[in-house]
Amino acid sequence: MNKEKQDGKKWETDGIAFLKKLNNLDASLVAEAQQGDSILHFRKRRRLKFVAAAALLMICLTAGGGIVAASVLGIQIFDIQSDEGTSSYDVGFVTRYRRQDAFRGHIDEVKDTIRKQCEEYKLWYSSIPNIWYREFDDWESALAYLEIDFLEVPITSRPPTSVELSVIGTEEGPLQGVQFYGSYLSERYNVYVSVNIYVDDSEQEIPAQTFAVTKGEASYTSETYTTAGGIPCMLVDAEGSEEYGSTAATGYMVKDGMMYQVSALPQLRNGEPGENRMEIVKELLEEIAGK
Amino acid sequence: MQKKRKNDAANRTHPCPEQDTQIIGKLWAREEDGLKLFAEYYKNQLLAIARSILSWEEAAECVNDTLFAIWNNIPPNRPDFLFAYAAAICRNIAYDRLRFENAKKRKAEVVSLSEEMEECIPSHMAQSGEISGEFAQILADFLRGLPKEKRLIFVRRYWYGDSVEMLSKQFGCGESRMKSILFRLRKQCRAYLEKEGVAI
Repeated sequence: MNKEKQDGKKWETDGIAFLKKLNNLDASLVAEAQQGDSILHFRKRRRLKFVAAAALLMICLTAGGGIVAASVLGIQIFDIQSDEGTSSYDVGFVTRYRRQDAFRGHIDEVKDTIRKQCEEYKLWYSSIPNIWYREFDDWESALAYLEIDFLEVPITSRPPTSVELSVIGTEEGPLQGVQFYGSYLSERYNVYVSVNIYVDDSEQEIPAQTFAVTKGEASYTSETYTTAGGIPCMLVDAEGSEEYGSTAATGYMVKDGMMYQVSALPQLRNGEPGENRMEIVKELLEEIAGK
Repeated sequence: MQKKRKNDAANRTHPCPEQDTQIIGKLWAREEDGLKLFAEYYKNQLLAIARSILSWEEAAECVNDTLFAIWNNIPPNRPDFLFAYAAAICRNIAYDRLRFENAKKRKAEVVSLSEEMEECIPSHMAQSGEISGEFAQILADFLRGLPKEKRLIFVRRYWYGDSVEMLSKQFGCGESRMKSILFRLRKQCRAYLEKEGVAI
């Protein structure tokens, strides 16, 4: 519907005319949206959706030991939304902070890069200044880059196509998070294994929250699952449109205080019906959980 | 995980009524310091608005034209919201400049914005081809009926021209979630405009 007007203003589409008319919008509404504390408030509030409820429970539980809190709270799926644009759900879980000094190797170079990105950042840049990332061929080299010794290499029957390491830092220096994202691409399924590590010297156990988004309309079903080694998981199956390739099975697991996410997306366009997607996820969760 | 905002005038992003009153006072007294102070506080934000519509060089010219317009319009005007007033001038100049760029040269972001906006246009508006004068008032009523967060998202995207990526950072959610929010807002806007029978 991007037709040009025919009355001499041929440069002006309906959409641009609409945008121009917005100029007459009440100045108080424009002023309200000027950046600053009013928007910062929402960024902080969004994180408390699951956190507030879980934190209250944790206060009661952690007197006896933080691990009890994690096992009782488990992994929860909530706020499921579905419409023709995008569909999504939130995932609440309990994770444990890792200390800043748990990351060595090239970490100082990474921090310097982040600091420089933050200093040079301008409002109109499209990049996110406090994130550094690099792609590696395998888990071993990705882990070795920061000399991480507390995370076991996820053992899988097929080697990854690549492993992306992302570091979320700050201009001042301290890290906030580290994520590994392993891709396993084949002709029939795209499989992904990610690990999220939250960083803080407190080493506390904290409630945290993430979310998953699916393009187009999707229906979600979830069920709990416990690995052979006794680690509770949450499985979510998303059935979406073939157009967007949004049918997928995902498994969530917290192990050693770190959130693991395993996803299997059938390549529907290659004729893969995807019936085995959840079995693939369960197998990977078992391999990662170990005995 | 946002970078800490530096506490200097060039990056001040929230309204400060006392400072704005001082600037307006100086402008009203025809003191050039008033314009210098205004530029020191708001030039970067005006540039960001213009940059969402125009190329870098044109955006810089647009901001300069805006400063010139501020000098010429205050007095006789004494705006209640100084930055919103200036930003509206800047935005107007930017969109007027856009007419001289053919469709191929327009920034991808403004093309994307205009395509999104077309989803808000009710069918009866699309056929008549003109936007009524009541439109801004009715849109304001729609926005005031939204929860504050949604209202801010709508205005930041379609008035300030913030990218989806920037909005997702500002409001602490992923890009896909933000696109979903914007999609629903456009649908709601269209439904409201259709209900109000606003003529286009």
